[in-house]
Amino acid sequence: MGAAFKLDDACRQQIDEHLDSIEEVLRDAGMPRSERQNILDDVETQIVEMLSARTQGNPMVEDVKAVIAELDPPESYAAEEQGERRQEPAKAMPLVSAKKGSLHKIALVFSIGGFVLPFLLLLGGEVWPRWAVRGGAELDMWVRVVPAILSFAALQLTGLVLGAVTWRKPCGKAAAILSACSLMLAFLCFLFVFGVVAVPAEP
Amino acid sequence: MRAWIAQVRKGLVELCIMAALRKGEAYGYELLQALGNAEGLAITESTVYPILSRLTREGCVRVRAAPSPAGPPRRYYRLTPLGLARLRQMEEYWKDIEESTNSLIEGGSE
Repeated sequence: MGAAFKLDDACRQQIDEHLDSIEEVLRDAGMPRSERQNILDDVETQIVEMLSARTQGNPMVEDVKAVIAELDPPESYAAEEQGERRQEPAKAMPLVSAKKGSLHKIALVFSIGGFVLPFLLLLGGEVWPRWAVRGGAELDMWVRVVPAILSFAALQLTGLVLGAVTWRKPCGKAAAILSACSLMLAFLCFLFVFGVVAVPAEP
Repeated sequence: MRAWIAQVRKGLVELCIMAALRKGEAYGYELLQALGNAEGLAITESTVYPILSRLTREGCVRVRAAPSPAGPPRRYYRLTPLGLARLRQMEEYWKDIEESTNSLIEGGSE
């Protein structure tokens, strides 16, 4: 074998056709070109070595066909490769990224919830339990106003953080902007209400 | 049943390839011949070469091309330190699950 090993055009064509079929399958499975080429080089080496062992140097087309018949069909590469590609996203992606799929929606729910829940707390006085009403202004403050402020801050902060994490998604962006604006507005209101910023007196 | 066998075999073939490479570098067909007789694993070229290609991409093996007595250059694969570390982890894990699976199977058959 060695230098005496020669492939004529007909043999070469048979081998190339088999390699082309494998490449097509791998390309369809989404494998990058460089990796396809690695596999094709290995298959070609194997074919030539099998031919070399079989024919002692001068293979005929029948020999090539016989060798190719011993090999896996090109379609079998698809099963292997598609299995790999299916596993890769889960393997490569950290848990947080896998959950990001719905985080942007949750962010928006928090941002909107940050308005709805305090609103319900503040305006639900009419249907509030009797003991809260009977408790007077002080108790009313603790069961309505403080929870409303806290829930507003907590929900908007959560919406802001989740929105920032999922900024690339429209819902995430909307949640981040909405929460940021409402928190700033609430902070300004707080400053005015508690007199940190003086309102100019009317003449 | 066939799907289950395919799933089990898939992970094990990678372990077997890396274990075979620990003995020293080898080219694809050489590896295939060395692993081809492993009973039940049905290791063929459509399994081995894509795994070698992926391991190369992941940096677990390094490739060196060398002239062949016949045909195109042979591509010799060698484990990298990263590959060796991964192999050790895989072996450790394999021993653990082998032990616990055996005890479950033996316990279940009593």
